[in-house]
Amino acid sequence: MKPDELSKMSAGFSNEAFGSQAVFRVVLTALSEPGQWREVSSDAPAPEQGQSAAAAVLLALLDPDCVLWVSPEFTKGSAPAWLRFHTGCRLTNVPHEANFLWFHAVDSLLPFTEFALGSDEYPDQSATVLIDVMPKQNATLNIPALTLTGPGIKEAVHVVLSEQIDISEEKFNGLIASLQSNQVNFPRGADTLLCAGTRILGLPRTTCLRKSEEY
Amino acid sequence: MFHSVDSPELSQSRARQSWLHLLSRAPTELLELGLGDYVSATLEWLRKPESGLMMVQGRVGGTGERFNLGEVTVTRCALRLTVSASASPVGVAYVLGRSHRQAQLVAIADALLQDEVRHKELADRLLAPLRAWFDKKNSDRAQRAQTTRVDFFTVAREASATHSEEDDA
Repeated sequence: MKPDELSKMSAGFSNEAFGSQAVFRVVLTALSEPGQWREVSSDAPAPEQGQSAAAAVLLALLDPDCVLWVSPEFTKGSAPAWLRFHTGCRLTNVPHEANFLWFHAVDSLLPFTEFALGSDEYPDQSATVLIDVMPKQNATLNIPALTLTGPGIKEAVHVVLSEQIDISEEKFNGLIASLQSNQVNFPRGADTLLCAGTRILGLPRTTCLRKSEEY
Repeated sequence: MFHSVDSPELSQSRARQSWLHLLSRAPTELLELGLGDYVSATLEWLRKPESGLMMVQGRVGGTGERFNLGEVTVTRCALRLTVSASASPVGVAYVLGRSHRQAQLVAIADALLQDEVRHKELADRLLAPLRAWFDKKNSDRAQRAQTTRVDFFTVAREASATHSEEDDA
């Protein structure tokens, strides 16, 4: 680390144990009851880049055994150094080496086949993908609703992403196609968290997505 | 990492290395005395003091293959001090042992020494007494060792090295 980087470093959780436990609880709920936005409360000052929910989740979950990959936009800022300082995680340039991947809202998503998807014997050795999206500010964009089914969901849950976030139709279609392709390899696959502002939406590999208008 | 030899950054980090080298071995009482009122300066923790183990490696004679000598307890911390409206340097500390207080004092001193105004003040008040203390400690030890000196008439004495290097260990 350069001395310059350290002098601009911001703090982590005011209480490491309680702060990370609270965030862990939210992540657990988000992934066990997919398709619902969950508020991540964290007192850690968020880095200037990226969604604060994603930063808090990474700060809570990373440790020195974890390998983190961040999308190119993040490498321009202090967020990776901040996470490295507070968690001791290792940073990598190779997506399939990483346990955690963090995509900035302006960066495009990589195909899920480039991530660590685990093996059939050890599907748990797969990556967790955090995808930043911009929280809703503008007028409604025309995006189809999603129907989610799978473990943790009673019958089905309908999600209208455009009610919560700003996402272009092109990016939305890419995201859905990636998530659908992720289900082909089950039990292998990556788990996804959409992060917007201070909220996260869990989309584990077990959740099936359909665009509602198709049905 | 490569630096050009005359870069100002390098000389700055050399200076910081030398004062951290001094501070990290200083006893808590001397640190408290030298820091004076700064001891209770308002600070923002970046990393609260935490103790852990570090593996110390050694080489026989400084040239042999590296080997793991053993683990030592180390306490580290990092904090930000707001010394003025424009300056808020970050101080870090790694000290042997489990004293959180000592780590905090070293980090405060490190932060203050990075500020040009405070540097001069603390160089006189903190670093100079510390240097004197270490010099005295070293010379006392050398003197104690001298009393055990035996002169053999029949065996030639080895060329004695200058004392400074080994005393720093």
